This record gives sequence, C-alpha cells and structure tokens, in this order.
Amino acid sequence: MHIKKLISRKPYETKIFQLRRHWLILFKRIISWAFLAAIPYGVYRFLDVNFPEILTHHIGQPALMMGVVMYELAMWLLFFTMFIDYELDLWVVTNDRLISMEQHGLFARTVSELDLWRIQDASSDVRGVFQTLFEYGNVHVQTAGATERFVLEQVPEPFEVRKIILEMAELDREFHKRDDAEIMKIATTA
Amino acid sequence: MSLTLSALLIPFWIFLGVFFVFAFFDIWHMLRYGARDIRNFIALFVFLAGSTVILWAAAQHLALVDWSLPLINLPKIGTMPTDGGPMF
Repeated sequence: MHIKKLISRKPYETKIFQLRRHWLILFKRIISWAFLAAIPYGVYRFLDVNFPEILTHHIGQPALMMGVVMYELAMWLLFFTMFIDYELDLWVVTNDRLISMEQHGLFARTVSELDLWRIQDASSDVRGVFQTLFEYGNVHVQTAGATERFVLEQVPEPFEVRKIILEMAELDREFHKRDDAEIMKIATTA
Repeated sequence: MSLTLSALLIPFWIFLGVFFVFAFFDIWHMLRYGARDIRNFIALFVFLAGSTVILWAAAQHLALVDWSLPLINLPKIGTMPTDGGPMF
C-alpha cells in the first residue's frame, strides 16, 4: 500500500493491524454482478425462441452484437471498479493513530486519522443474519468531541477490534502521561 | 442515397473511448493507491485479460459483418418533388 504517499509515518510508529471490509461484502456484490452480466444471455434465449428472425436480420444481428459487447465491457469495468472500491477501503491501526482511507467511486477518496489517546469510547454493532453468521459489523470510535469521528464499516470481528482499539488507546494515553510528566520534571528542574 | 451499416460503428467507437478512459483511471487508482501484492497483480491481470478477450471476440464477430449494406434508404435530392406536392 502506498500509505507513504498519503500519510507520513512517525519514527516511533509501528503498525498493529489493518482492516478491510469483510470478504462477504465483495462476494455479495459479485453475485449481484453475475446476475446482471448474464442478462444478455437471457435476452438471447428470449429472442431465439420468440423472434428468431431478429438474430439473422442484416441490421438486427450486428446491432445486437455491438449492444452485447458494449454491455459486457461496461459490466467488466464495473466488476473491476467494484474490486478497487473494496480493495482501497482500508483502516490501519498503529501504536499512535487510527488511519482511515476510503475510496468513494472512481474520483473521490477520503483519508483521515485520529490520535489513539484522544479516543474516549468505542462501540461495535452486528446487525442482521449475515453479520451474525459471518461475524462482521461496524465499529464506532468516539473522541472527546461531540461528533463521531470514525466508523470502521463492515469489518470482521468488530468486538475484538473494538477491544484492541480501546487497549491501544489506553496504552497511548499512558505513554502520553509519562511523556507529559517527564516534560514537567525537566521544566521544574531547569 | 443510403446510410450504411457502418453508421452503427460511431456509437460503438465512442463507447470504446469512454471504456478506455475509465479503464485507465481504474488501473491508475490500483497502481497508485493499491497494495503491490500478488492479489492485486492477479486482479489487474484478470481485468486486462478479460478486456482483451471481449474485444478480440467482438473484433472476430464484427469482421464478418458487411458494413456496406444500407441501414436506411434516403430519397435522392434530385428526386424530391419541387411543385409543393407530397414528398412521399
């Protein structure tokens, strides 16, 4: 991942884990896509049974052929775009920050980050049959501010993720307290 | 005067142009922001191979079409009525 192009890594920073949406999200999209991609075959069968003369007509035949090619190319492009959209949505947890990178379609991208020590609360939710069976859901991360800053969407094992984020936040707070105490100590001795 | 079947190729070429532009942006996104791992390499290969197969199959089938056949027959300008009477 070209995270370096988006976010500069601090010298003391190490990656704890990174998350993507659950694989089932991509799988569900692929199933829907497969049905859409098969539509021309259904149309062909329909025409073959009901209007076979269109399939041999000197205009109808090439027009249909070009229509099918355009449709299938568009579907193929949609498939790749869908994969990229899934692949480029990423959440990274380091020992210092929570970084969110989200791709919205082809031409929009959001990158945001949050200092772990600022996290006050994190909650996770699993809703519906699929989310319960396949153990995925959302993790909401709350900072000191009134507004909710981060939502890790449709990630696997949200309860475990929430637990780790809270543990990492606590560790980071301890680290910052120690840092602040040392600064105070230096200031008072100087 | 007649419009030949080759007129159908105009929207087709325009579509292909749009397809290549979007495909370029997709590949650019993947190379710039995606991980350089085997998974993305395979995805990119599959996309390029699939596109090539579709375009190749299209070229093979469309090559068999006689594009010089008339699509619409238009009346010749010289045969149009000039006395204000009905054209058709």
